[in-house]
Amino acid sequence: MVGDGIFRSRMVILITFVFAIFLSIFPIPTWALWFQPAWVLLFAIYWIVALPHRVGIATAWFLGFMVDILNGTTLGEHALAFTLIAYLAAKSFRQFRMSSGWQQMMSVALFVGLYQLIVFFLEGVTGSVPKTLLYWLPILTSMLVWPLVFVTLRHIRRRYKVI
Amino acid sequence: MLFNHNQYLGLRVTFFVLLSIIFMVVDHRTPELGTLRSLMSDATAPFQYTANWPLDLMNRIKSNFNAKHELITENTHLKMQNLLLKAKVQKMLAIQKENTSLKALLKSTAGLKDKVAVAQLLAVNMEGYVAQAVLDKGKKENVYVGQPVLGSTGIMGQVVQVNRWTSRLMLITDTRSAVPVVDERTGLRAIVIGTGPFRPLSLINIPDTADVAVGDVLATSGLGLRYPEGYPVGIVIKIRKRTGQQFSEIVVSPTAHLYRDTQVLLLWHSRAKLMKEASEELENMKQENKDMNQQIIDRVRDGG
Repeated sequence: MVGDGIFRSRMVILITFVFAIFLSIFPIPTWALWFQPAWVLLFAIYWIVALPHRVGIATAWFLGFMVDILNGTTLGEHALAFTLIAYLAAKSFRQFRMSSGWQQMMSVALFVGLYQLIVFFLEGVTGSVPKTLLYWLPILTSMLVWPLVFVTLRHIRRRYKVI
Repeated sequence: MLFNHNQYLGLRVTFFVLLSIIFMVVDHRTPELGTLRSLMSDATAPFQYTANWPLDLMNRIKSNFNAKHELITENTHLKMQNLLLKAKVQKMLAIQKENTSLKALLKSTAGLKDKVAVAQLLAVNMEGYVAQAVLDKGKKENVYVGQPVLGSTGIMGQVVQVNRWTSRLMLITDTRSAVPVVDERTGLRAIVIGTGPFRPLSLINIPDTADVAVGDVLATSGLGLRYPEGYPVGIVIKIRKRTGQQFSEIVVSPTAHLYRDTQVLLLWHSRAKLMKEASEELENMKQENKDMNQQIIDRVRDGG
């Protein structure tokens, strides 16, 4: 029984991550690319905060690795960034849960900002630095989209009894 | 369980950070991870395809609409092209006809050893009793006054005026035209005159007793040296014998397509050269006649 619950939970979480990946690779017009929120990261942040015993550093690392594969960037780049942000989220999940909507948005903005910074740095080391300021736009859009992500995933968690 | 995870958090992070760095260094410096990357890319391919599916669908719908729009545009364009081509084809038909008639014209001169030239009708004048046309050949091409003009099916007329680049053709239906002809069947010689444009010709000065029948073909006799001999001029279509009148009224239909042909042949009749000599001879004969008459009158006077 408990095994069922855990298996089902893992499945649900996996499906949401798959969906997040879909969102990140969905074809959108070139001009809109900069406006994309960091879907995969946002989903990871939610699940780490909501279920830190279920989703942890390992999952985050693997997600980052996936992003590297899909984006064609140096392997380990986004994995590293995911790892560090996941650490922050895992460390602060209690405060995060207790904060209000706005505060959560600010935290998310901070997380995504750090994420972009790490990737920026690593890109500079390995490849080419993004030259446009639009590169930082996802911080804003992720922040704005967070409430939607939060509410949706929370609904799924409750509906499918994800534990 | 919560505690367990948090306890080893730091350790986990360090491990994964190091792992990431190792990956990054290896991937950046060496091509070793190429296989792994391509393998994992293949694994994520289904993701890519599925993510693309809605866009693909939209594109296909859009292309359906575009195709329809393109088809409509293409259709309109093709219709217009078709219209233009049809017009061109009509012109082509006209050109074909012209070609055929030109060939016929040239064929009709196949036996001729005389020089010919094709002339185009530029303008026509068919009012009242005048049946004339302007040709596009003139003095420059050695056209001369009195030169005979042939159509593909018969005599058209003669040149009455020559300008530098153009000349005027008088058709045989012009009232001032007279063509010496011979009845092919009987050998009877006579003259065919015109009665006006679009009216039939008339064979004149034929007594009732002469042997002329409906259907007789009248051809040029060559007398007068203006028209070359042997060319069809017309066909007898009606004979009206008038009681009380000396001559019959004979209606002749011209064989040449006087009002249809746009191209005609100018003929440099070899016999025309003889005209000057012949007219001199004629003058001599007239003079001889006059002298003889005078002689007879004198003899009668003297004889008493």
